Amino acid sequence: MTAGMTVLGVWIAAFLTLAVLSFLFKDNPLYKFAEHLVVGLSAGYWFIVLYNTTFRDLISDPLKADFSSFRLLPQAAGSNIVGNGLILDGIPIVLGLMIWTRFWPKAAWTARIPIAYVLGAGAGLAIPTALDNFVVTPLKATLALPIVPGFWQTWTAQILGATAPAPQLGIGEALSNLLIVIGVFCGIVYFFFSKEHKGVTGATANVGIWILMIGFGSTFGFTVMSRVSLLVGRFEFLLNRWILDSFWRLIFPGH
Amino acid sequence: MSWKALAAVDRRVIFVILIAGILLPMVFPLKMPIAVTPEVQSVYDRIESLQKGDTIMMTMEYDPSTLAEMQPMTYNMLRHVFRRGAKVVAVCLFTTGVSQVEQDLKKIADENGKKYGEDYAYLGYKPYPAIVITALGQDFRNPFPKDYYGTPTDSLPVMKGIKNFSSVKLVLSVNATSGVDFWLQYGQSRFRFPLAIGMTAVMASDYYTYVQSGQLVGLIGGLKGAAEYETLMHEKDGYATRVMNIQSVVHCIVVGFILVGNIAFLMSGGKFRMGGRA
Repeated sequence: MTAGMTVLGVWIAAFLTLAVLSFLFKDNPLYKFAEHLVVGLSAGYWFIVLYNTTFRDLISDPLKADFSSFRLLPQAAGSNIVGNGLILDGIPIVLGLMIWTRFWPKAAWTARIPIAYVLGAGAGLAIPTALDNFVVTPLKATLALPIVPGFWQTWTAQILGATAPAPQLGIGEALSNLLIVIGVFCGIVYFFFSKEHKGVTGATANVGIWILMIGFGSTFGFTVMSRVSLLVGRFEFLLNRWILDSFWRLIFPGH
Repeated sequence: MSWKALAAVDRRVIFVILIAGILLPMVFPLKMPIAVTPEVQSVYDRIESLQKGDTIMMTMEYDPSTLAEMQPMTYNMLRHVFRRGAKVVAVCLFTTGVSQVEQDLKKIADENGKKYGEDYAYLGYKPYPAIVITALGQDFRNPFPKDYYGTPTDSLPVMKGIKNFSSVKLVLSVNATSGVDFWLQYGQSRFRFPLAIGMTAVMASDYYTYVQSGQLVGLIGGLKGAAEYETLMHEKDGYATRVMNIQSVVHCIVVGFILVGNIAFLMSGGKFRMGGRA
């Protein structure tokens, strides 16, 4: 990219940043222009990337290669030739085309076949890994958290005449782990609706609410931090790249 | 000014104060200490342990909308990896980030004198992350027979001896999308590779759990995480550190607004109750 193009890019970016920020004052045509531009550009970019990586790479190029050599089956492993043969490349293409039959009522039922395939394969792939990743492994890690501090282990070991296990847990770490265990337990009780939230269950659920509120507060804090980062990033660009690097040098060349 | 008038102050006054809070420390820089969290330290240590010639996989999934947060951490980690003499195989599974990632990767590689194909490779984008990650677990060449530039993946020297996740020392995901879940669910959970993540601050609070459970090696959250990384790399005037100092001033202003807003609310006769405003 030439220096002139870079400068032009900085000016366009600065103009669009100011156009978006102008919404803080009130809605206006400049803001609308910037908003529509970003939506249009994103859709256009998205279309081109998906066309190249899906239609060209997975459909058009393999089919061209398969037809040109009339191959029915894939080449030997390690071959760099595009295409897996007409049979293997043809099956997903036919399944994909079947989804479009929904536009013709008489043939619409055939669309259920690829949808059933996608749902079946998707569920088969997702359910075991989701359970393992989002439930079983974090739960196992919580259950395995050590919560007995080192001084207690030493003290009981002395009384029982045994050797205290090493490494020993500091009191801060033990409390932190205990808090995680209590938090998980109370949070789960809050979502347990088979028993009325009264008495011990109600008190535990109330602790669960507090734990959830602290979690939401933390998420909100992080969200503010994230948005402020983006805002500071834009002002940093306006001040350093636009005003100092580009604007200033245009007025005072050589400085 | 009465408390009621203060509670109903024009939002544009708040914007002006916030903008002043950003511009003033930009012109008159501050230097505040940045404490390093164990989650960031852990990512740093893992990269520091890389030996010359080791290869890592980097999944860079962000676009210009989150650049302010993602670019500093990407730059810092890439610089660190290249300085250790390690090689990088990068992919981007986020549609609108494909060329942004290519630019960022090339910039830091050029800055460190690294050569494309020998020291790093960019395999580009393929749709449907769950399927791509599963296929990467078998062989990187399955979803990416060619790299981003159309060169056969097998012909790149950096890919020699690299088959799948078991051939790389670390998978480093710099991610501003829900793609993090795909890397955890279809990648780490299934293929058990060491996974470290850099993400936007908005997402960070949801993923600390996975550091505690051992599913993640470490986590870098937003610009704060990037500033911590710069501290570890002894880059005292790095971009993230400079911007984080500005951000700290803005945070103080936001906290001030929250306090003043609540005091004004109470002083003008409002009452709090569980579950909402009275």
